[in-house]
Amino acid sequence: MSTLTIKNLHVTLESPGTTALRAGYGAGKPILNGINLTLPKGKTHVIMGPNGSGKSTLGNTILRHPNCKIVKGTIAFGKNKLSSMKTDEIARAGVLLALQHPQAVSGVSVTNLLTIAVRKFSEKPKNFKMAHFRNDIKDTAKALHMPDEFLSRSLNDGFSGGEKKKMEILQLSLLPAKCVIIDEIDSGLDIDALKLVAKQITKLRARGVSIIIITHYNRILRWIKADRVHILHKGKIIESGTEALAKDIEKNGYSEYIDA
Amino acid sequence: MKTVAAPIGGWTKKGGSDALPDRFIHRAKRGITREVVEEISAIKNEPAWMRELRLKSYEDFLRLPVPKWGPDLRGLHFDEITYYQRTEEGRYKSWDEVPSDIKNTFEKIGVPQAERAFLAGVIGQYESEGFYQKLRPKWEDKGVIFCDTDTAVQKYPELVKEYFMTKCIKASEHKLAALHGAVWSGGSFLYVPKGVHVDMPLQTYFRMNARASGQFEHTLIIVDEGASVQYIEGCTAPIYNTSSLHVAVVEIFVKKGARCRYTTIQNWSKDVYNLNTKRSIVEEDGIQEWVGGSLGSKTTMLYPCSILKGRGARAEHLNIAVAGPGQHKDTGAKVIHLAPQTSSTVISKSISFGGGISTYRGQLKIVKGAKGATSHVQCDALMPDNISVSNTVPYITVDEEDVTIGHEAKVGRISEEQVFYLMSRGLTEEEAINLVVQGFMEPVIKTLPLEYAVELNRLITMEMAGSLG
Repeated sequence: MSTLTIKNLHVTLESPGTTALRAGYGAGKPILNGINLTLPKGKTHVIMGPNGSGKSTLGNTILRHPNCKIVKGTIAFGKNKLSSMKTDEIARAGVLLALQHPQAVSGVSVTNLLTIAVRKFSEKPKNFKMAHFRNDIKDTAKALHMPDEFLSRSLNDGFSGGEKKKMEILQLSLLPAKCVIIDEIDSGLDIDALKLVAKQITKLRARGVSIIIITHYNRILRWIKADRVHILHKGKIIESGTEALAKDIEKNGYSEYIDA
Repeated sequence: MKTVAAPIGGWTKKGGSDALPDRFIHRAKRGITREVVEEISAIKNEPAWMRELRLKSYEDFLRLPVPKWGPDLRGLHFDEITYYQRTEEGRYKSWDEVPSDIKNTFEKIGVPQAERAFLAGVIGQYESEGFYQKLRPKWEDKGVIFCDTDTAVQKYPELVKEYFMTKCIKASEHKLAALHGAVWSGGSFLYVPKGVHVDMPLQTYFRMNARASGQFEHTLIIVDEGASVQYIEGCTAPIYNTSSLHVAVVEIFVKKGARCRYTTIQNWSKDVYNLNTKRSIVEEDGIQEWVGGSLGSKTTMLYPCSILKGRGARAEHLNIAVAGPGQHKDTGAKVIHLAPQTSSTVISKSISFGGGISTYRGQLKIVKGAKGATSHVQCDALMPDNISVSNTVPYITVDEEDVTIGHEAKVGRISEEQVFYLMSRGLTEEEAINLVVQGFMEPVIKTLPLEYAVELNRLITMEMAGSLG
C-alpha cells in the first residue's frame, strides 16, 4: 500500500551537524546527486557503498534532518509527502530511523521516551494496550539480551556502541513502524549481538514493515533476506541487483563498480 | 486524573489580575523606622525579650552595609517597602472558616486537597501572618509541635528564646539577617521530639499578595535526637511592577542521629527580590537534606548552609535554579565541616534562557581536625541559547590533609542532534526540548513527592514556553 518513493533527490549538507555527517564536507556541499529509489511495502532493500558515498545522508534526509537540505526532488511515503514534512510528522506517519550515532539523553530512560512517544502515534501497534506496553518493552529487551537496568538508565548515556545499536532496534520494534531505515546497525556489534538484532529486523519484515538497511558489509545478509541491493557512490545509485551483488562486493570490493 | 498540585502554580501569569483588593486590619506605614519595629512587636503582643531582639536587630540593620559581593541590589529601596500587613485577626483551624477570597486563592493551587491527600500538617501564610494551621492528631499526640512562629513565641517561649537567632543565624551577621530580625513575621515552628519519625511531610504555603510589600517569615525547625521529619515550603506572589521583597530566615537544628529534609519550591513573581538565609546545624550522625527549586523572582540570593558539627554528620544539597529573561539567580550551597568523618554532597542544577543569569556560588570549608571528611560538589548548567549566562564561583578552604573532595562543573546545551533524535521518535520540537530539560532536572525531581515533581515540571515547561526554538 504505502510505497516509499524517492525521485531525483539532490541534497546538500549544511553545517553545523554531527561530526559523522560533517566529516570531510564544507557547508552546502552537494552529497546526493539525483537519487531514484522505490521501496514497495514490506520489501527489504540494502544500500551499500564506500565511506563518504552519502548513505547516512540519505537516511537522515528521509527523516528531514535540519542539516540535510533538499535542493531538488521529492520523497513520498504513500500519500505523505515527506520532503515537505517535519521530522516528528514523518516519524508519526510510521517512517522511523535507527541512527548510526544515537544521542545520549541524560535523565531520560528508554522507557520514559517510549511511553511518551507511543502516545503520539494515532495508529498504535496491533493489539496495543498502554497497560501492557511496559511489559512489551521488557520482553523486547529480553529478546535482545539487554538487562532490565538498561530500561531505567539514562538513554545511551555511557552505553557501549553495541548497546546503543540494540536500543535503536528496541525502539523501532516497539513503535508503530511502517517503514524503517536502519543506518549501519552492524558496525560495533559482535556476531552474537548482530544475530539478535537481525532477528528483530526479521520480525519487522514479517509484520510487513518496509526496510532500508544501510551498511558497509554484507555480513548482516546472512540472517536477513534482502529483496534488492543498491550501490551508492558519489551520491548516486550506480548499480542495483539481487543479494548476489552484495556477495560480489564482498569478494571483489567496490572498485570494479566505482571505476566503471 | 487530577493532579493534587503544589502551592506554586497557576497564578503568577501576567498583570496581577489574580491579586486581591487590599483589606488589612493592620498595616504598618511604608519604610522602616524604630517606630515600625516597635509597632510590629506591639501588634503581636510580644514578650520583652523578642521586642529587644527586634530593636537590637534594627540597630544592626542601620549599621551594616548592603552586600556588594553578589547580584546588583541597587534597585532595592528599603524605604519603599511595607514591612507588615495583616488581613486576619486569628488563626483558622478548619478550612471552612477561612474567608472565601483567601480560600479561593489557595484552592487554586490545591492546598486543602493536598492536605487531605498526603500531608501530616499544613500552615498557610497570607502576607505577614499565618492564617491557617493544622496538624494531624496522631502527631500532636506524639508531642510534635507545628505552628506558625508567632504562635510559638506565645506558646513555647522557652524553646523559641533558646533557638531564635541565637546560635544558628545571628542578626548581626549581615544587613538582610538584621532586617529580618527587626521585622520578621510568620513562618513555621516545628519541633519533633526524640525518636519520633514523622513519616508524612509537613507543609507550609506562603503567599505574598500586596504590592511593594515584604515577607519576612522565620522558620525554626528542631529535630531532636533520633527523630526524623520532612518539611516542605512553597512560596508565590502575583505580578506587580513595583519591587517587593522576600527576606526569609530558616534555622534548623538536627540533633544526634536525627534527620531533616527541608524542601522548598519558590515561584516568585518577576519583580521580587528574594534574599534568604538558611542554615542547619547538624550534630553527631545527623543528616540534613536541602532540596530547592527556585523559579521566578527578579533577583534571588540563596545559599543554604550546613554546619556539620558532630562526628559523622552528613549534608546533602540538591538545587535547581531557573533564570529566564531579566532574572538573576545567585544560588548555591555552603558546607562547613567541623568534625571527623563528616560528609557532604552538593548537586546544583541551573537552567538559563532568554538572557537570564544563573550563578552557582558555593563555599566548602573543612577545618583542621575534620579527619576523613568527604565532599563532592557537582554543578550542571543547561543553556539552550547563546544569550544567557552561567557562572560558577566555588570557594574552597581545606585546612585538614586527610580529606576527600571533588568538584565538577559542566555546562551543556541542547544540541540540534539531540532534538532531531527525539523528534525522530515522534515528539514535536517543543516536546523534545522539554524532555531534555526534564531529564536534566531528574536528579532533583526524583527526590520530590510526586505532586511536587509533576508541578515543578509543569512550571518549568510553562516558564520556558515560547522562549526556545
